[in-house]
Amino acid sequence: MLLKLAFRNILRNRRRSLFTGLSMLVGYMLLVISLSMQEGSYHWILKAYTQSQSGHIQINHPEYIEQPTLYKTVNELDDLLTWLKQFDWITHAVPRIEGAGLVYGEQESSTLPIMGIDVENEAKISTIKDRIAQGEYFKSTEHHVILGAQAAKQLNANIGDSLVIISQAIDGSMANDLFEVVGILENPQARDAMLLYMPLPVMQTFMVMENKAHRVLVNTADYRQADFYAQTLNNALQRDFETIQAHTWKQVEKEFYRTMQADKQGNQVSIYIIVFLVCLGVLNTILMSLLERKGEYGVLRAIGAGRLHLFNMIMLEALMLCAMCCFVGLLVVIPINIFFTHIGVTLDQPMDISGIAFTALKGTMEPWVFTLPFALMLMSTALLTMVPAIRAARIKPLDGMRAL
Amino acid sequence: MGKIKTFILCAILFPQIGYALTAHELINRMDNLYRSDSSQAVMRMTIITPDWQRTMEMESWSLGKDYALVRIVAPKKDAGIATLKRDAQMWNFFPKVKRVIKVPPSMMMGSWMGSDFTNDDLVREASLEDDYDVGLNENQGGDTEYVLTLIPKAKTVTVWDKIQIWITKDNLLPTKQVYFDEAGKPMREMVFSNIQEFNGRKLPSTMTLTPLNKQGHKTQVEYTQLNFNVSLKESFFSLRELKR
Amino acid sequence: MLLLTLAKRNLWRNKKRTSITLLLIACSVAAMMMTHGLIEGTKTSMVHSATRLFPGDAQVHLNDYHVSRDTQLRFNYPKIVHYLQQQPEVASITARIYERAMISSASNALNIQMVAVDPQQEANVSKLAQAIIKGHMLSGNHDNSTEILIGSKLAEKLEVKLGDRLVLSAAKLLEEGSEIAQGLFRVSGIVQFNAQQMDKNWVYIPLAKAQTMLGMEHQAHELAFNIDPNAFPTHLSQDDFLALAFWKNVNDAVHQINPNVNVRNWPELLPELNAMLSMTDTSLFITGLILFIIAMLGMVNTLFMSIYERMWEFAVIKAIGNTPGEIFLMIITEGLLLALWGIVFGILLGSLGNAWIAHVGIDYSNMEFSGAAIVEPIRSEFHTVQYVHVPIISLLLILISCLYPARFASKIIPARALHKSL
Repeated sequence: MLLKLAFRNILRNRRRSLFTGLSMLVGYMLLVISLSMQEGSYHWILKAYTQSQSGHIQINHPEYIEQPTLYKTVNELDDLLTWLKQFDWITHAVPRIEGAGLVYGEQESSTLPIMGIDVENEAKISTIKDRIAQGEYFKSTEHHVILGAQAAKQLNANIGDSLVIISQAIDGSMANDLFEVVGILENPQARDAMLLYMPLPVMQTFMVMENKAHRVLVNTADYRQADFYAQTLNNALQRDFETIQAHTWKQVEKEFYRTMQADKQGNQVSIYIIVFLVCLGVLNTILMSLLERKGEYGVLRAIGAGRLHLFNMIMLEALMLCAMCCFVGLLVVIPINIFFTHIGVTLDQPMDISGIAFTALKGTMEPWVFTLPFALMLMSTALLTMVPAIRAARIKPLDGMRAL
Repeated sequence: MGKIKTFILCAILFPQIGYALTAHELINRMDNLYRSDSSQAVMRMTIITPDWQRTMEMESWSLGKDYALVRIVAPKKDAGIATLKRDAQMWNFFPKVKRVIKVPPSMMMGSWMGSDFTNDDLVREASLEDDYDVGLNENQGGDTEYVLTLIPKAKTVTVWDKIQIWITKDNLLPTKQVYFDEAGKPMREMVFSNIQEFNGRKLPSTMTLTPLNKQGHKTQVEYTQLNFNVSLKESFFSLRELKR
Repeated sequence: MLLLTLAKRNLWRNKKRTSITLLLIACSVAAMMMTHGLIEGTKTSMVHSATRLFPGDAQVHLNDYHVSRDTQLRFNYPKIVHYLQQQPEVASITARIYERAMISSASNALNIQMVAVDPQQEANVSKLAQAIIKGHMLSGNHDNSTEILIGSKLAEKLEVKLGDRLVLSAAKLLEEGSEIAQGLFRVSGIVQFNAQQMDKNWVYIPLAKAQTMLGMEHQAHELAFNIDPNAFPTHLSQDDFLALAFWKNVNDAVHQINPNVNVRNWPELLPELNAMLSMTDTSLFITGLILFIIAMLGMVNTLFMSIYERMWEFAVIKAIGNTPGEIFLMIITEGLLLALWGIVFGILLGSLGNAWIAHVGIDYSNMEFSGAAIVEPIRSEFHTVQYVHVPIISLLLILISCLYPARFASKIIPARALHKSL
């Protein structure tokens, strides 16, 4: 009965409800979009990053992440890769070797980091194939290398050039061999601009690291489940491969994760600011509408409505209005959010946070992005309306009716 | 009367058989121990690290302080790899890729072939006498050994604050050389052992270098053949010779 | 002015409503001012943290040294420095040499970046002297100095403390090829910038010493200088900074001395920072928009309410002969007065807020964005924009939001309105 009254009251004065409601509507939409953009941007970056750079999970020698050295290897690589096939939630298992060497081009030399990659599988998880500016990607496992943009510049190297690479193999012997440049990557500012890539088996022979690797990237359907699956993996590894451990992407990229958390906290502050501003607007309109209806309330009290009754009515109206507006807001904001989620806002210059480049701001369609603002709006409306409602409920009937 | 006095004085102050040795003379001996106008040697180098162990056999030639050529003879994987030094420059040759590459300055302080010796150690032949102030301590080594304490002169470019050399009194050959940092902590130790006669000279044939601040590392060099004053010309130390 | 008196009296008849609306306007204006002040302060802090930390407001290089870092791109600088020192806009200038080198201690040998600076000039341009946490700054630009400053993390890796020996080896370029130059140094100071690369990798020696070691007399890789803030008339926005004739003039003059040497300002040298700044401008714009939408809604609502309450009044006035135009004007005037009072009050509030934050400052130290550690606390800034643009735009927007209610009021049909009750 109360509900019907509240509803009717709202509809009765369209203009008043409209204005009050508009504040709530705009507030809701703003909150949704802010939350969506903040969460979405990170999500989008993390998805790409954990997929191609760190892996959702990584299997390594337990000390490799903190203090990487050539000698902290994952042994029995082939057995491990076969063993991993039993887990159907693993989408990719991709090994990598990391080293360094003195690289001599035709005229220039430079010390470069070197990475051995699985020709077929690496291309499935990373963007390396798409980032080739000159030449082409590895077609087979021969003595071919792909250079990052800056590395190629330092060596003054072109496609087809012959490089001599000298390094120290894992058994202490001097690794030295000839390699041909088959590809050069774009973007001198890329993370791997100074890197030299070669096929994994070639690097294994070069560094006397047969059947070994430093990292095995393990990807799943969703990077957010990494914690859970890493645990499962670790339990199994303890049984069958004791010398190695599975690490989540958060453990692998500790610094980035920390900066991200700090940044997210900063973002929370801006959410609070938006909520505050919205509350200001809502407060104003609610106060206005209550003041306007003083006469109404006076009459109601005069004919016998109790104070509690009046209070409930006012609260209910406000909350119903809020709910209705949020619902309308939802309908309006969904297509907008879809736009942001799938297309987003591209940044002119990529932004660098602890080594990871953000190229666009995107949104997300996760349900909480819509429900949390709804809850916030309801709560704020309730809180904001309470005091004015109490005051309105206590109006002496005569005082109220004088306003008529 | 004067002569007897001098003799008694000497007998009291320098209780060795025969003659007095100064620090200056000793350090001169150390500088020239392995040095000659030219030399040819065959040696075995064993490198031990916590992660791997290797033994290499090498042949080397040197002319004065400025020219040296070292070629690895065994194991087969590394055979033919050679290093040439001319004055302050250094080249490496790798037969597998048939390339001579110049060692860039940034690598000069790096280790030579993974050992505990740096490229710089091989390239620079420091003259201990020129670069250090020498003090002789007769008693620190007890009855059997002299101990020379070397403090780098103001202009000497070195990371060591002090070097001490233990020398056996009767054959005047070094047994131990220790390198110290600022705090007086011993950081590197070279042990000389296996005295043998090469070409008329008695020398320790084995040198073992152990870094004292890293666990599990050691480099040992053992001379199996050492010839002095062989006939070598400057032209021998060429890039062409390097590639043979 | 009868209109004004009437408007004033109408507004104050309902004190509560008017006060609340005034508050809303004032808060929005104040919030706008404070946000602007804070963001400008943040921008300045970000820029200064980046430039004053080490790079300088502008740098001079041969060709594209700032990108390639090719050590062969060295140039003779005395004439150029002399010219720049005479420019009133240049507050301080210093020369630097960069070289990759190997550093060895008794414990370890590492590849690092050697930076050679003139201690006195450097102190006027960058924060090197303030970043020293142990020991002291290089005492003078002597060519036989053995003083060296090293990054804190580097000191840990090399296991050295003040006074310990270090040997630096670098390549000295000769007519043909190169030879190794070595120098003995003793740690005279330990530096901490809280910027990863610098603390892990950089060592600093006197410029003259490097010049002797590397055979680079009168040469350097880089000149860095700071702009005198008093030389420019008002607080500069980024666009104004870039548009100054100064940059063109200076480059022309330097090209006379050496056609391949270029002067570049920090937006060119630190494009990422530049991008960050335009992003903050965008977010400022969006915040402003949100604030005004909310304020406008409130205004319109309030005005409508006041009209409603006074429906009967308007009916009477119209009945006794006021034209719709006069009623329209009256509402507009009320809105105008509200706006003016609200804005004045808001400016007061905003000024107080900005002054407070300017005094207290917000500390962001220990966070690294785009490789730049924000070292200086953020202080709000006062800006003409806040006192001119914000009030004018607020006034306009408020007046616009009055239009609809005013029109509505003017169109009241007296007969109907006189019936109006609830």
